[in-house]
Amino acid sequence: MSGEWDSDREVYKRMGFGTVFTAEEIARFNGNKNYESDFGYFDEGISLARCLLTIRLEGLEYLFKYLDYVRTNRPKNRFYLSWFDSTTHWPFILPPQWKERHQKKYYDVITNEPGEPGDSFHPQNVHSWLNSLRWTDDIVEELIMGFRQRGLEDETLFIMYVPRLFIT
Amino acid sequence: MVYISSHGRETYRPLGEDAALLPAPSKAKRNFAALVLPALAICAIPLLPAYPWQEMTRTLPFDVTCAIVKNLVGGHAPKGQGIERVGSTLFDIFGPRNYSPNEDPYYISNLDQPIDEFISQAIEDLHVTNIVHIFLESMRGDSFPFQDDGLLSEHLHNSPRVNISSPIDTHTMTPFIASLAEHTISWQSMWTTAPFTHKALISRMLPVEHRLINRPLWHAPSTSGLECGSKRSRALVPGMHTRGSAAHQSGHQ
Repeated sequence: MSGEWDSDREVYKRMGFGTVFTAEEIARFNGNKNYESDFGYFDEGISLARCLLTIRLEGLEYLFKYLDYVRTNRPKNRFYLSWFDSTTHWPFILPPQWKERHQKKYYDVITNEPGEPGDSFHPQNVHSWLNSLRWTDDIVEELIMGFRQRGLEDETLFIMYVPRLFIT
Repeated sequence: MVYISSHGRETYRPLGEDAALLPAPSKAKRNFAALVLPALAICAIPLLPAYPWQEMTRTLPFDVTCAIVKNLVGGHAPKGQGIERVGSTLFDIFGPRNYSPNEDPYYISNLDQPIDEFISQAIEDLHVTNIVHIFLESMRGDSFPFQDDGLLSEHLHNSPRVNISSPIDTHTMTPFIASLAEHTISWQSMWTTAPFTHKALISRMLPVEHRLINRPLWHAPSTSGLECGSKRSRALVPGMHTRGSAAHQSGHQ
């Protein structure tokens, strides 16, 4: 997540975070390249198509780096981690490598004309969302398997949130 | 995206171009910040104007002493693999300015209450030492795992506007999470008055400036003396405005 949008810095500070490791910090490890997405953050598997070299920027990689660091240097510490994914949010950015292998066409569009009044069904968006859903299942598997490979699965409680509504 | 919620002696440091991942301050600089500057501050006490600083000066020696001890004992966290923590800085010698539930008038702890019976029974044989939040924004409740009889599935399969060309069901869409579904506990609905019940949860929310954040709750007078609330946000919560005014008048900022 970006630390440079709106009042993020002040919000994080007021929330009580001691250390915040944002997309800007991750970008420094990759030469401060531009974001591919207008969203302005790095999500899993996003590559920098604007660069001469394709560099994969994966937040999950850094989560596991942090995890390995903590386990090595402070083995007695318990950890409380969060992992966030918004790939199922428009504009449905998926890793190119995954798209080449797994992206599917789930249905053929018969008509693009609107259905019933209020019907917001947009064939292309729903199609992209379904692929994002499929990808999400893969990345959650990768996340949990990462803990399993480290022998942490049985002592870790995974809590998954599927937010339906934000009221601000 | 990685968020690390940390506790203890680490303190917040601004992010961005002037932010973290910079080399740690040298020992000489830290000693200068920890000893010389507070000494200068104490010497400057008699020069302060009478009001409102006179109220603050009564506790200043105590605060400075605590900050010095804390700073000297705290030291600097070791460097990580690609992640460097922020330790002592010039700013930190005056103590952390972060949110603290101990200073939050709206914080209600439930730590003294028994664990919900349903949850305690579900995890009674488990020995959990770590917690991982997985937050899926814009995920449908009927789709993870994908429910064959869910609203989306029904809508797609009954829509006269599309012709399904590839199977859309639990096993094709969400095979992994479906394989775990038998070993999970799930709630269809979970409500909270605001996403501030735990800061590890906060980081999972879209960090828009929620109304509540914009209210003086986060800008309530504290030991840090910060005052950031806008006039508009203060007007939204008259009670907090009154409280802030009273605190300001008594000089306890």
